[in-house]
Amino acid sequence: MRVSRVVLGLTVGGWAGMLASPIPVERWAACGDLSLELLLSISRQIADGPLIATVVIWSACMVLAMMAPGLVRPLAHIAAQSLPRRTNLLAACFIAVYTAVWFVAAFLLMLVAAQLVATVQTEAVALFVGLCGWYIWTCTPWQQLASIRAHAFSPLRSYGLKAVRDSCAFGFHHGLVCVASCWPLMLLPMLAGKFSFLGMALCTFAVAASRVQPKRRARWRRSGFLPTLMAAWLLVRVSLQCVVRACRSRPLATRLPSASVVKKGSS
Amino acid sequence: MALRVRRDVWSSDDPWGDTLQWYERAVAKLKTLPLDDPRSWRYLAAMHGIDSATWQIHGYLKEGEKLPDLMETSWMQCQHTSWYFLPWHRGYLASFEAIIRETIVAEGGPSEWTLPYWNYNSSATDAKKLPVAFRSKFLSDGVTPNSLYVPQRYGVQSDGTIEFMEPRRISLESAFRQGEFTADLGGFGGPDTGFFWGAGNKAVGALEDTPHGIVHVLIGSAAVDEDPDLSQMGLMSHPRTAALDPIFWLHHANIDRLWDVWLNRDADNVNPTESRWVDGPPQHDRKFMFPTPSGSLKEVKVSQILSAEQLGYEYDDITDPLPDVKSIHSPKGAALGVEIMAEPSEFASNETGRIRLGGADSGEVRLRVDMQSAPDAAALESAALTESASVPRVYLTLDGIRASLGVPAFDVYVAAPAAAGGAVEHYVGTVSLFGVQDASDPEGLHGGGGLRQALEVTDAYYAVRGDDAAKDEVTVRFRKVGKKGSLANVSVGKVSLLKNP
Repeated sequence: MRVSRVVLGLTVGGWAGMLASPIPVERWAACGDLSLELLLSISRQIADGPLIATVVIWSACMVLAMMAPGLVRPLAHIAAQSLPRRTNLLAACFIAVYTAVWFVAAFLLMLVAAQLVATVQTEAVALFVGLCGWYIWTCTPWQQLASIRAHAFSPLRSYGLKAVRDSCAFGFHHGLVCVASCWPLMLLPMLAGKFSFLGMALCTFAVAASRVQPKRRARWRRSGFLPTLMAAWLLVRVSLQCVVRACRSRPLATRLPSASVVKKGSS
Repeated sequence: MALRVRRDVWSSDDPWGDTLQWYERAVAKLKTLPLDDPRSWRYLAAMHGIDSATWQIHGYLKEGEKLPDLMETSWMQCQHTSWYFLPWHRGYLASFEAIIRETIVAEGGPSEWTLPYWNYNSSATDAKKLPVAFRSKFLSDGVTPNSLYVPQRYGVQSDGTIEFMEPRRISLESAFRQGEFTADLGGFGGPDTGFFWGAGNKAVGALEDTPHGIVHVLIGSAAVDEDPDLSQMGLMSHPRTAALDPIFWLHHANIDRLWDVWLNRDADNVNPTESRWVDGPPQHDRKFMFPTPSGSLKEVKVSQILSAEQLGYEYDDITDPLPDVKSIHSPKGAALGVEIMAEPSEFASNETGRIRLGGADSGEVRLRVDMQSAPDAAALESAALTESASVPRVYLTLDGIRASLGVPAFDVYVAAPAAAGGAVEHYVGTVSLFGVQDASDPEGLHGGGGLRQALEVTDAYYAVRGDDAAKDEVTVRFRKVGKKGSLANVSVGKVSLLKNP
C-alpha cells in the first residue's frame, strides 16, 4: 500500500514536473522536428550552459512519469529486504541509478529518433517505422527474456555500504533490463511530434499493462493485444496525417524549423 | 443430489479394496488412450507439467511422438507459490475424479466411486507408509502389471521404501498456525499472484510447503547420489512429472481435504474475498482449463470450484487433528478505507551475499540482529508468548533458494551463537525443494530468482534470544534430509528474520 502511494506520487510528480517545465516538450521529446545535427547542437548547448540542470530535471521527470508504474514491485522488494530505518535511503539509491540508466538510454534514443527522421524525411513514416520496430521487438525472444528478467529480483543485503551497493546494483540491473525490454516503445513518443505527450501517456499505460501480462516462455511469437491496439491507433493517426498533408500539399522543407529558430527558443 | 464421500485410503482393512481395484483398472484404461485425448493419463499429467525428454526416458512418450501445441493452453497449468494453488488443484482433482468415475462406470463399476485420500498425518498404524496397492509391480495373479505402481519412487532412504519416519517433517502445525489464507509471507494458501505456473520468488504458502512439498520430494527423491538429471529423479519430485504417479492424486486429495479442515477449525479462517481471487485467474491471463468426461475442455473460475459441495463431494473426516494449535490472525489496519494487513519488517540477516547452505550434509549461517528494530526484549519475559497477540510474530525467510537436482529437502534449526550456549538448537521446520529447478532456471518463467520460503520461528526465536538478549547474533543451521545429494549444491541469496507486525 505504502509503495503504491510512493509510485503514484512519482508518476504524478513526474508528469507535473514535465508540464511545469519551461522547456517545450516538443523540443526534447518530439523529435519529429529534429535532425541529428540539430540534436547534437542542442546537446552541446546544454552541456555548456545553464540549461543543464533544467534538462536533467526535466528528463528525470519524464523517465519517472513513464516508468514509475513499473517500479511498484522493485520498490516493494527493497522495502521487504531492508531494515525499516534504511528503506528510504536504499529506495532513493535505487531510483537515482535506475533513472540515470534511463537518462543515458533516452539520450541515445533521441539520437536514433533524429537519425530516423533524417533518413526517412517524413515524420509520419518515421513514426510508422518506429511502430513496426516496436512490434517486431515484442515478438522476439530477447524482448520477452528481458521482460522476464525485469520481474526477477535478487536478494539485497541489509547492512552498511553493502546494502547501498546492492540497491544501486539493483537499480542498474533493473534499469538495463527495462531499457532492453522497452526501448522501441520509448522511441515512439519521440517520433510522435505534437502528440508526444499523448504518446508518453500511452507509453505509461503500456508499461503498466506490461507488468500484468501473462508470463510465457521466451520464444518467437506473435505479440499480444496491446501492440495491436497501439498499432491501430497509430495507423489511424498516420493515415490522417497523410490525408491532411496531401490536402495541404506543402513541401516538407517548409515545415521543418531552422536551426536558428530552435537555438533561439532554447536559450 | 447426495454428496459423494471421499475416504482415507487406509480406512479400509483390505489393502486392495473395491475403491483401489477400480482405480487401478481405470488408470490402466486411461494409460491406453492417445496423448491428445483430454481424458488420457498422459494428457491429464501434462496439465500439471511435462518435460518431453524425461517423459521419453521413462516411456511416457514414444521417440518422435509429436506433441500437440498445448503448452500455453491446457498443459503446464499447475499453480504453485500462488493463492490459486488450492483452488486450481481442487478443480484438477474434480476433473480427474469425474473422468476416472466415468471410466469405471463404463467398465461396469460403481457410479458412486470417489477418489480416496492418503492421510499420512493420521495416528493410525501404517498411515505413514505408502498404501500397499501402490507397492507391488504386479496384480495378485503375478502376471498383470499393476498400473498403480511406478518404479520411480526412490524414497529418502534410497531403498524404495516410502515411509515418513519423522512425523515432524510432515507436521500440520505450521500450516494450521496460519490465520490468513494469503499473506506477504505466504499465509496458509499462498501469495497473491496471477496465473502462476512453476515456482517463483514469492513465499510459498505454509500448506504448500508442509506437508505438500515435503511429501512430494520424500516419495520421489532421486536414483543416484550426486548430480542426478531429471530422468534420475523420482516422478513425484518434480512438477513436470509428478502427476504421472498414481499416488499423486491421493496425496492431493489429502491436501484438498486439509483446506476444508483449516476452514472448519476456526471461524476466522476464511478464504480470500477479493474478486481477483474469486473471479480469478485475471481476465487478461491464462485460463484454468479442465477436461470433462466427454473429452471436451471447460474454462473454470475459482468461484466455480470454491467448495467441495459445489463439485458434488465431501470428506469423511474434517475434524481438527491439532485442536491445541491456535491459528494466529494478523492485526489489521485500514488505509484509504481499505482493510490492510500489517507488513512484516526485517530485523536480522546474514551480512554476506549469496551463500552455499553447507558442506555435504549440514551447514550454518550467522544472522546479525539489528538491536534497534529487533522485537522488544521485554516481551521475552512473557511465559505464554506465542498466544499473545501483542508479541510480534517472528519469521525466518530464505530468499532466492537455488539448487541443482539432488537434495530433496533440508531441516532448519535456530540456535544462539556458540558463545552463548549455542549447542541448544530448535527445530523450526523442513524446507522442501519441490520446483526449485524451474525456479532456478534463468530462462524460466520467473527469471531464475529461486524459491522463497518462510518459516514461523516465534517460539524458537524468543527462546534463543532469552539465552542472551544482549547478543546481536542468531545462528541458523541446515541439515540435509535423506541420503541423496549435497547441501553444497543448494544456495540461498539471503537468510533473514522478520517480525510481524
